Amino acid sequence: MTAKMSAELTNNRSLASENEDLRERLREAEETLDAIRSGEVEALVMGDQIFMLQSAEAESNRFRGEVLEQISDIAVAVDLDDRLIYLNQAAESKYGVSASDVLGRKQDDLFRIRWLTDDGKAAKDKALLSEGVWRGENAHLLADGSGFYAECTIGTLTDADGNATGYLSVIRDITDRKRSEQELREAHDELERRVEDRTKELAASNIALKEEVAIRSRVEKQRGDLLQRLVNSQEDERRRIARDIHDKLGQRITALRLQITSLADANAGEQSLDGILEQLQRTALRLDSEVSFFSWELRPALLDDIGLPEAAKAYVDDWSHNYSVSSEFSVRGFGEKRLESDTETHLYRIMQEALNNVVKHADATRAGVLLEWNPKEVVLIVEDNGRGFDVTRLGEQDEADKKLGLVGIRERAALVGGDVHIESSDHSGTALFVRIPASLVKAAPA
Amino acid sequence: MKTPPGDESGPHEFSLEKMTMDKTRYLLKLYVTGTRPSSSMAVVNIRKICEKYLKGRYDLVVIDIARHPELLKDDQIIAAPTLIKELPLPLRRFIGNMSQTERLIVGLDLA
Repeated sequence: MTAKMSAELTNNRSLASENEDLRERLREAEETLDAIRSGEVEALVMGDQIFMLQSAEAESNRFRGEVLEQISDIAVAVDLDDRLIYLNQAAESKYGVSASDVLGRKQDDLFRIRWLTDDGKAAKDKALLSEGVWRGENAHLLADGSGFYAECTIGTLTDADGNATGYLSVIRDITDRKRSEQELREAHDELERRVEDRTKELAASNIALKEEVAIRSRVEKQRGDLLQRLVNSQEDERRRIARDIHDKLGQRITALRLQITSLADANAGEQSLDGILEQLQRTALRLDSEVSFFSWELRPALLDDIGLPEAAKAYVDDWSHNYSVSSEFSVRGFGEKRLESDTETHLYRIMQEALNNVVKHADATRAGVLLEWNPKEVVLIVEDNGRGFDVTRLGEQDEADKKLGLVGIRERAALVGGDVHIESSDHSGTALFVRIPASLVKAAPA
Repeated sequence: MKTPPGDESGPHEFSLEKMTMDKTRYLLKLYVTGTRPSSSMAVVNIRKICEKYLKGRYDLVVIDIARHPELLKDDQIIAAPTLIKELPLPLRRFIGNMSQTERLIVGLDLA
């Protein structure tokens, strides 16, 4: 090759490359103009100054954009490819990125979603498809391993023709709220556990209490039985003594009276002995009568044979005669019925004790006894027109109860299911009521 | 200069030697105006293209001209958004929202 030719060649090459450069610069210039015309350019640089270009609709878009920028919730938009096309400031700060670093990347690069239920994702997809919007909760996991519970609203972005172009998610961190809910649940469970424990404790102590009550009832019943047996043996004892008195003592007194009579007959006419013999006879008569009454008091055999109403009437008549207190006796509702033997005995003894009190304390001129058996109850009333006493003092730990034999009266009444009530006031007499409710009355076997 | 975020594999610093040795590694600079619509779209579109055609061998630097006006002179920027392909040579310049994918693929020698 000659020097001239190689120089020409070099010249051609540099011309070609110059040409290439020029073409490139022309292309760039044309593209710039195109971009400006099509509105894709947002800023122009002239010298040291930057001029921002703003289209009319850019203004309203800017406003919308500013709103999203300023809300505290996170706003993230993706296209149909799941690539990020928008992040607001809250999103940048929450996920620790700058928007320009992640725009165009897949959403998974920013955060991964963990669904709280098995069908969470399916439900979201279905809602977006059918309604274009979904609202719900899930968890967001960041690349650094941290995460938070999120309440999300996802809406579909559409173009002017209504075709979907992407999705906008507005996300709120609800970790605190979830934690509070969890704490509340735990507190609630704890409370329930405590209530359950407490209930068990109460049930256990209830069982213990019931056992205690059962034991006490048994003991009470045993006491009652014991008392009954005691009373029965008392009655048996009295019966024996009464029989002894009647049989042995009574016989002797009769014998004595006969002997005195025959002595009187033998000495008829002997004036010096008349007075003494008369006295002896009177004394013997009184003795006879008192012994009779005494043994009658001890154990009326008739009670077993003729029943409570008749036996009571006989006693009241005798008592009235013996102590010179006028009396009334009435009986109602017994008919042919008989009460059980224990009940008859206890009511009889109560009546005796009450009449005893009339004699000892009441200074009365009249007394009355009522026995009634009606559908509601069996009642015994013993009343007098005597001195009376202050009923409010009953039950105080003094001699009053003992003097009136009230302990015995109440116990006897309790043994047959009855209760005792006393009415009295100064100078207005006294009335004693014993009532046995019908449900507790024991009738004698037919 | 902003730390390049586009690199998935390596550490966040340049190595010029590495640049020149790895002939197919791209260095792209995108000048934008904050997060305005065209600018955001440009970022999205470029990154999509990079992820598709240059995965693992590109560095995309996004520069907000409002925040760093001093960098405009370096590349003689006259409008935003502008994309500069610095490496591999030759230098290429594109203006707009980068939505014309085919033209970009050709222009960046990605075809």
